[in-house]
Amino acid sequence: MESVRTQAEAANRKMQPWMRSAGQTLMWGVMLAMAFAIGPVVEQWINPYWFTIVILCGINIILAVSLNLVNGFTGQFSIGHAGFMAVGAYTAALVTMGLGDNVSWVSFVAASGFPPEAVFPIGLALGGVAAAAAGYLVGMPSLRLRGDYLAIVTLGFGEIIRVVFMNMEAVGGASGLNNIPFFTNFGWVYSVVVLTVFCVWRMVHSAHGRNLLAVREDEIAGEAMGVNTTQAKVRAFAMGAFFAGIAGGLYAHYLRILTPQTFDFNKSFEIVIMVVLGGMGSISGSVLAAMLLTVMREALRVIQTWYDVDLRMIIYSLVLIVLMLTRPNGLFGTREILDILPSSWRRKLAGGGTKQ
Amino acid sequence: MTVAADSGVLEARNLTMQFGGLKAVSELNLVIPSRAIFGLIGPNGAGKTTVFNMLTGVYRPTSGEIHLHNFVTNGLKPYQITRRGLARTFQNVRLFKNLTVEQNILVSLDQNPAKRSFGLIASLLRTAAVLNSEAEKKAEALEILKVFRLDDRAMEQARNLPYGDQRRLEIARAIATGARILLLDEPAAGLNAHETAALMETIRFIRDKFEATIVLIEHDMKLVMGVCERIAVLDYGVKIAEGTPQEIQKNPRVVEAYLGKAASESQKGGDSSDEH
Repeated sequence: MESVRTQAEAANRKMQPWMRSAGQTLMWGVMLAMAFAIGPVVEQWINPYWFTIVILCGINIILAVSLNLVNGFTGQFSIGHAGFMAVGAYTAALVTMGLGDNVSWVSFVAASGFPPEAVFPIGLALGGVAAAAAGYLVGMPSLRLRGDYLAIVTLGFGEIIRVVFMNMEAVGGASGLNNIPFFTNFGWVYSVVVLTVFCVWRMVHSAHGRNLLAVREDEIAGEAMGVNTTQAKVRAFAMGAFFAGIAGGLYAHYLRILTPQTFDFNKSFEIVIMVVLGGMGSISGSVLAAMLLTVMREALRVIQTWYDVDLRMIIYSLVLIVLMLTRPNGLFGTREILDILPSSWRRKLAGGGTKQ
Repeated sequence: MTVAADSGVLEARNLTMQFGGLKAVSELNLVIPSRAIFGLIGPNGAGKTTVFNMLTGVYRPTSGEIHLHNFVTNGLKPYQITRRGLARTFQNVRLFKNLTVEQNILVSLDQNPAKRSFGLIASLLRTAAVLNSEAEKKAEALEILKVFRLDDRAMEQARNLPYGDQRRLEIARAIATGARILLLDEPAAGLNAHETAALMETIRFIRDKFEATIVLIEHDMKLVMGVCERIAVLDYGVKIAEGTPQEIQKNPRVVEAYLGKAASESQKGGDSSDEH
């Protein structure tokens, strides 16, 4: 053990491991802080219409990257991501509304000197946790299922969630939840984007991530090599759901109104399309595809004003078909955008790792 | 519990597997001593693979016990059994095809009970200890690949290896789990005579190098007779013979199982005429 350790230390002679570790994590921290720093600038600089698109881009990136963890890296084809998003959205909204409107909470927040916005991260986190719990619940029984069967169960789950909210008077039923406080801004959305990409990237490039890849590649062989495949799948499901829940919270506090119809299976498919288009197993692919599709849907609105016919969805679908025909593995396949950098750079960025 | 004098690292005691009305394996007793190369043979449908599936935890035996290092493994899941020191390869190679050769080994090293494992938070924060452990694992993966002469292909996708290399990688991957009892399911399937000869060398080599115990199912009699020190023969789920390759080749019940009754009688006739 001791000799192996000194060997490893000799290999990293240039820099102490703790320095490399701290340095790399710090880099992500700086990116996270930058989201808050440039937030006000962005909000002043672009018009409200494009600002909405920028916010939706961010939320869709979070959704696509988190779903990629399940669909792309673990190979479990889930099409119920909107369900987890709904759980997070409603939970976060109830937390901030309950805590914000409740007299004791208002006075507490005011007395403690925090701005009312302070309840927002708590709401987001609880929304994420509630969604993760839902992910755990779906993950457990559906682990025995593969392929199409799992897809059907997750689809069914997404619909169950929607119908439950539709029939819950406490959250406004079909007419939805109104007067959600407006908390979501550029800083919150893009700091969560950074956090999501950070967590999924590090997860995938760790021993835990290798377990997910083993499950994707060959579950039986993975199990025979000692991989606890059940645990790996539940982890992926729960972690994917966690970030979907946070995305839901961000969405709720931007639109300020939640209706169950928002989280129907069209929303789930939209996220699946982003993942497939970007490339199953490519984080940068998901990021780009989420941005591309979000912008494209809006850009195509222009065409609608030229003609009276709504060609928007037809063109949208055609673009998808053409892309899938020409690049069946998605825009990136399993590659990452960093792969175009020289390998020496990549090694530094990936933490002395090799191409994954 | 007193350890019997002839106790092996892997034992099956009255192992029975019943599928509905079919007894695929019945009252099987096997004692596999440490560092043995043990062959399990029998005609098609004799129950060899069922035995493997019971030993590795894929099937739960209907009755009987499996003792792995004197620990009863009945009811454990496959991954738990692997972590207790028994790993396998597959009849039709099952590598992680889209991962690199190195990653295939790393997946196994991650499960190796001798290696330190880290929680999710430590892995996400990528602490210094995690970085060290990753570097150590990569160095060790390369060592293992060197032993199997696969180190120059470490960064290639497993799917791009020639078939013989894929089979070797599968054995290397099983070794990397830390298991020292290897079950090889038809390791020579699909290999040509030259590759089979090389495989025999590899099997002996890993037994000596890693002090491993090897149990193999095989139809290639040249390999079985050439490499195994002890052989058990199954027919219709029942062990009909066990012994050294020489004993097995002479055993009339084995000949009968493989070639039919007439053949075994003609051989008996031949034997008796020799006695005159």
